[in-house]
Amino acid sequence: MTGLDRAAAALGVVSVASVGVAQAQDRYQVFELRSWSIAVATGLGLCAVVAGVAGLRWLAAASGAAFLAVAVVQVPVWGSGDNWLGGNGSTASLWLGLGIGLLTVGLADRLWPDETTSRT
Amino acid sequence: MVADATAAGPRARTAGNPPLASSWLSRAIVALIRVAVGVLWIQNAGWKQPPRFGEGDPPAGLYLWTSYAVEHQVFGPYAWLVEHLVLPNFRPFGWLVLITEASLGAFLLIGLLTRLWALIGMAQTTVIALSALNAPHEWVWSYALMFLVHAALFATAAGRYGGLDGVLRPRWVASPGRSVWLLARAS
Repeated sequence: MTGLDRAAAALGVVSVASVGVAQAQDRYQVFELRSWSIAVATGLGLCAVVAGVAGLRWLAAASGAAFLAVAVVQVPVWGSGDNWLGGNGSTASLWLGLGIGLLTVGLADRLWPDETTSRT
Repeated sequence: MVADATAAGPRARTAGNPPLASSWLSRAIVALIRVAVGVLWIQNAGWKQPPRFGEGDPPAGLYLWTSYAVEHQVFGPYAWLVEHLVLPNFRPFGWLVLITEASLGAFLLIGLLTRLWALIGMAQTTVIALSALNAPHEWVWSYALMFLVHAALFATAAGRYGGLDGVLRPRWVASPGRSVWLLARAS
């Protein structure tokens, strides 16, 4: 397992664990996860874990792109009267991080080929 | 001194090494601090709700806290700017704050381009302090500590420990080109 694969798996674990963290209440609540947002965090998180464990960079990139898309959708949905996704601005921030991270991991070999390895 | 330490054996040599280079625990603590600061920003993106950002009667949320820059002035020119430019055009300002703080949380959490985002965190902390420092029941040291923790993230290049910077930086350093040079500097 390379460093990039470990990073993808770790980001997936963070997403799945966020469902538990979101159960905190009142001032200890870091972000909201209700209804569809729980399915998003669990489903995309598991995809990222599989991508990391199996070394599937395309799946890491796809999971990252999906996280970015739901992060962008979450903000106006949260601001509207009908928050069907069930997250808030904090959820969007978390998903933005996971999305950028997974997309970076998935595309790293194309964007920045590993010259440190190829030279040896 | 180096010769003395070498002659004294491995323990003396380790004692002279910087903690971040020699101690797994120190690196883990730096990573933990970075993640905690990321969570700080993530949590605080949760009460800056578009599209009004608290603008209304009575004012609330981000609008109320921004208006403290005028009500409980910290720095005259900044108070003037908020009163005459920011508050009358609040929605674009609200979006700018939400995007900045959500991005701070995102990038610091995953440890990507951490030194750049630590600098942005210092700038954003300064802006917040200029609004809220003299507000009722505020603790001055909380803003000083917030500024200093970002300075510490910058000084330790905290994304290189348990963050994506640590995985990607060797590639950026080894690759030619202006853009990767910038990425390496930002990490």
